[in-house]
Amino acid sequence: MYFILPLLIYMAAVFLLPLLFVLFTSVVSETSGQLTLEFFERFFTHGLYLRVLKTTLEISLIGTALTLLIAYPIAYYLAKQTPKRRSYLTLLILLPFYTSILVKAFAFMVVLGYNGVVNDAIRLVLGEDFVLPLLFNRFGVMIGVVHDMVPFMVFPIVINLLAQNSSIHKAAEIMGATRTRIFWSIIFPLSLPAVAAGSLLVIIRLMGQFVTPALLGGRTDIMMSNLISFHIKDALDWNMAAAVSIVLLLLSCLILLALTRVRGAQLFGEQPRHG
Amino acid sequence: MYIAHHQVPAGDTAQPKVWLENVSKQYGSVTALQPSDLKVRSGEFLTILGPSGSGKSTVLNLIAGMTNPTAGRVWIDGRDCTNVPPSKRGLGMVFQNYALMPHMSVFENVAFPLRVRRVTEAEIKRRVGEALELVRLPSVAGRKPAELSGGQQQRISIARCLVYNPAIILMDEPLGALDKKLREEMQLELKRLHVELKVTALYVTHDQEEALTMSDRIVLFNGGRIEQAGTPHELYFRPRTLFSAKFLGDSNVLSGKLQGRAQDGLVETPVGLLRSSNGNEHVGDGASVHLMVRPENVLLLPPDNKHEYANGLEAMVVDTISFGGVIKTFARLSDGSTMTVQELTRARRQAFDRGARVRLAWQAEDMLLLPAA
Amino acid sequence: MDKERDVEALGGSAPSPLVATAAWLGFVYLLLPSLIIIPMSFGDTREIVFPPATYTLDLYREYFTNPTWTGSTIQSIRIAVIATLAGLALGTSAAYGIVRGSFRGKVLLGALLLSPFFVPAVVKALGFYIYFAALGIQGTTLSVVLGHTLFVTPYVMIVMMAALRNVDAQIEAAGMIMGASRIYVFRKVTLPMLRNALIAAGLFAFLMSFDEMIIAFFLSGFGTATLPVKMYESIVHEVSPVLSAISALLTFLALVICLAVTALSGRSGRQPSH
Repeated sequence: MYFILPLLIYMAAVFLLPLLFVLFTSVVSETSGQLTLEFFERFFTHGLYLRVLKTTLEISLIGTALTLLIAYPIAYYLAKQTPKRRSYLTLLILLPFYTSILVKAFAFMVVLGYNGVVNDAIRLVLGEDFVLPLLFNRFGVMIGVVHDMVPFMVFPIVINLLAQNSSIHKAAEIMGATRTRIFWSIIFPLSLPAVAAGSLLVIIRLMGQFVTPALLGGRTDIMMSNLISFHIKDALDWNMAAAVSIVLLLLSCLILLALTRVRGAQLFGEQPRHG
Repeated sequence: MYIAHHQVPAGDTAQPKVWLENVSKQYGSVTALQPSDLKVRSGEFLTILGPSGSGKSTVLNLIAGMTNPTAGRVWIDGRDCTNVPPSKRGLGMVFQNYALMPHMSVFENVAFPLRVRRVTEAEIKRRVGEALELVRLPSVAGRKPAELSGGQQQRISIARCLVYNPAIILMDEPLGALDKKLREEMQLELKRLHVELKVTALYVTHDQEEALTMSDRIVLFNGGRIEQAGTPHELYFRPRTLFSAKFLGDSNVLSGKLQGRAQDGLVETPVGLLRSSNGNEHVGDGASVHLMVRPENVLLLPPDNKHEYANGLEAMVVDTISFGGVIKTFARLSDGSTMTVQELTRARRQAFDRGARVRLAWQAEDMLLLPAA
Repeated sequence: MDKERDVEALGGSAPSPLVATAAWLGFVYLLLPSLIIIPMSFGDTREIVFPPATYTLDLYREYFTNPTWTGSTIQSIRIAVIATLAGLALGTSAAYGIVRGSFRGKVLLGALLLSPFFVPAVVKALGFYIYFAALGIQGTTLSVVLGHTLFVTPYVMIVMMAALRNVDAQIEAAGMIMGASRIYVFRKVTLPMLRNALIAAGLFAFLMSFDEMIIAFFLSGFGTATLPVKMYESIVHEVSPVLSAISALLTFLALVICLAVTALSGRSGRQPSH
């Protein structure tokens, strides 16, 4: 199909080739020009890299769990609305989804800082000496990344909930099931493919986070993206930057592979077609 | 049921409008169409009839050029079109969902094929006007398709075909999306246009009643091959197989074994000896056969009636259901199987209660011999 | 039909107070940054506090008169416009090929074309950095445009594939049977039906490129930095109060585009019901 050809050529030139350059740089030393695995060796033996890997996985997994916790009630609430109300309420999810991550990070810095809104309120109630460290630590990062990810989780779940056959719920109700029971034995299990798809999508995106950990996190919240940036911008070590990138890329591919295995999940929010 | 019964125009001698020459279609290991030979004669209304998955859509797609045959050739107007793209085949097509362009006015929709052919503006205006006149919707040219009813949209889609005189108009279940009353109206409308304009039409449907009403000729498909081809009259009254008999109209089927010579038509069945005066070249002496009689050919008589019919069976009325114009009576035979009798609803009709003993009777010429599968 | 289905989704009963509370707490959390940033932007130039002590337009004045900010904004707009147009052309064409095509490996190819969406931004940025350095265009506006085109194309494809699936393929088939070539049908039939989706995809792609920071951060040089790059550097180094005004403007831009895209996708590809 010649309609696909332009993009294929473009992607070969501006996507696959750059990635091959990264792969090349990760295994060929800049100084000696020799083929080597020393950069990967360094990654998997040095405390710094392993700690950043651990931090990245921690933030991704815990962040995904928290995102799900916040997103599911929102999705369920949206699914319960009339179409008109739902379209208005969806705007409340869409606006933050459309807002620049820099704006969001900046706003949270204002809210969570020592002189931020939250600490002002705490001081007002408990006295001048009380201050909570909310910024430049793991808490700050979590507030930022979860905020960024909630829409990605809400959309697939809402679509799933709306596509569920309401006759099944009605049948269960007529047979005497309580609402709690209908939720836990029918609605929730049927929504699991969407939950899985949303979670994997969120994990992939969390692993690549850069802005939020850089602006809202502390020294111990450096993620792999920040490490890559450090190596290229400050340490001028292209080899290590490339090696870390390849590890991050492989991790993402692994999750993506899992994502393609989720059956019946709608990845890109396509509405199911009727008739 | 009305069964079209008119002269078949132009015999086999004239050049066919469309000729599928031994075409077949495979999708991987799945055979959608076994090698089949099919001719659409100039000016005829030919219906491709069959259940879903019978290969009828494949035939349509092969003629339209949406798919290429695995083997065989497709001829249109004497030209080998096997590898010609759809846009160069000079066909017209009417779709079930109308396929009108939602962003164009009715006028622009009908003008589309003319614009493709670079017809002058004045000519376009004239011909679109004529086409809309033909489908009796001259006043909707400025509207958008979405503002019209389903029936009107389908008329526009027909006008869009008529406007450029294609070699043949393909119709893919064009009335499937309409309700029953509108469908019957449109059947007559299509018939009228066909008779008036003498266009060649290939009509695809799974609705046997539609096929019987409208067609000059029916080609019945089953399991990716042609089951039987002929006039509606032939298919209805002379089905050659059990499938044809069951697909067109209602039928009562009994099984048995031929006694004596095949042409005598004497069959031993579990309910007794039955007689058919219709031979079947596919049935040999002593063969196992099916017997078929249409419900409207069976008479419902009191049990002691001395009739002159060749076939008569004792039965017990199980149920009687009225369908408005007709009444169907279900009667159980001595072997436990059920036969259906269909009569016109008349005030003087003799009623039988549930459980009543009756005699079912029919002529030998109404009993068809069909080969056992 | 669909409306009736929707109303009855999940049984139609009102959500329990517990669910409603949890949902609304979520909404507040999601909207918090936008709600904070608007009043902040009307503060004065001395310090960043919420709520501001005095309300002025000083921050907006500062933004619109400082060439660092206006220059980088114009740079962002230039890049976003070109990347959007290129992304629309590449993405729409590819979406058509994938949705309408019938060939082996279609699903796999579609996944491949969307794969940049799943590759972490920093990895893409590093790839561009090394690659464009080898080509000698690292640090130029062109390099950012090339990077952003790749970045926005998957979004365009996703929107256009969904829109195309809503366009009845039989309408296109009808066009071709009536004698029109595939290209003619694409131009005269398919594209006009996709108009709303195209505008929506374009607006979305523009915003994505305009807000994109990581690729631009890696690729742009001193003179070619985009607005988000300047913002990032400002947050890291000095945290200027002007950021509040810029953030408010960006939030407003997001709101406008969000409303426009929502309105357009509500109307695009809508077929008369049968």
